[in-house]
Amino acid sequence: MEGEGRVSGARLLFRFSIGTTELAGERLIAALREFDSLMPDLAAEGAPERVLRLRHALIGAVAALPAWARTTLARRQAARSLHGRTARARDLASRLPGAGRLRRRTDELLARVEAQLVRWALAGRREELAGRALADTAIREASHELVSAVAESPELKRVIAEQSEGLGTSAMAELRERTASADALAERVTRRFLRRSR
Amino acid sequence: MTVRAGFVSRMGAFVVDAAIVAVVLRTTVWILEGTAETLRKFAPPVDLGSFVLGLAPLLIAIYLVAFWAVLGQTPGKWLLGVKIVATGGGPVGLRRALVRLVGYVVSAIPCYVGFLWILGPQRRAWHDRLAGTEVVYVATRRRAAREQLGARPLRQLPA
Repeated sequence: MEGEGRVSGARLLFRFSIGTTELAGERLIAALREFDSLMPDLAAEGAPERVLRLRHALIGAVAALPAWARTTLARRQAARSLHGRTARARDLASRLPGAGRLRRRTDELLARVEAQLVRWALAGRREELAGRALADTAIREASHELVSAVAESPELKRVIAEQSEGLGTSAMAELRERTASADALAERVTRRFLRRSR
Repeated sequence: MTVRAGFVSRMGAFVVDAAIVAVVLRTTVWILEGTAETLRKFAPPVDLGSFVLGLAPLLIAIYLVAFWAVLGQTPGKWLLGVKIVATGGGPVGLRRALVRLVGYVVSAIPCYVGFLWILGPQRRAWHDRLAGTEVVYVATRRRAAREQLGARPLRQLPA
């Protein structure tokens, strides 16, 4: 990235691994989505296996877990606010000696932690963008290099040439052998025909 | 030891040569007609396509004689693995090639009967006899041909 100076090798590797993971994940998910859209809807058609087993329950639970957690948390938050439940306890604690100072210190610490987290998040976002760009370029260039290396490999060229030559030669030899036997056959047929006609 | 080529090999070679000549002539005519169409008023006042087709017999004769005299085999004969040699071996040469060409016409006049002599025990058509040539399998084919013929050297058979 511009303006960062010389980036260390370890940092580049880290950046590359992040970018590659993200790109590969995105492409894999996109491909899976596409395949999934082509799949028939088995739930609508009825499952082919009638017997319910324990593994079905486990798979169903794992699949339903994120949605269940989301709805449960939302319902609980709506029903009872944490702030409301602890209001009495906080009121008692604020009356204790030194409580104001402790609260200020805690607020300062939380503010510092929050600021540090924001800095890390910003740095992480920069790192992620740089990693994606690096991985995209590196993968494209590497694949070009790989294709060029394979295409220009003298050994590969030799193998292809040998295969083509061998194929052409064997086809020609086959044709010649067949015509040689056809020559003999044509003569035998002619001789037999002439003998009969005499 | 040389083994003379049979009817099917020679017929196959002839078909390949005919195809090559037809493609080349047709392509030439197509290019000339396309050029004339493009040039329009600058094109020569003759129909170049018809001119080339009119010259076809001469071009075919040049094709055959040149290949026979220089290489001893046309592309079709090369593909089928046969070669023309003077009787007893040796190159065909220009004179024999010209005589062989005339012999082609002679073989073709009586309903191509002259070509059927290839089916005989000597495997020589009229034009071969006229020009003193024979068509033999090239070295790589001799073994296979001998196997087909039961190791009988054809040149020792009676005429």
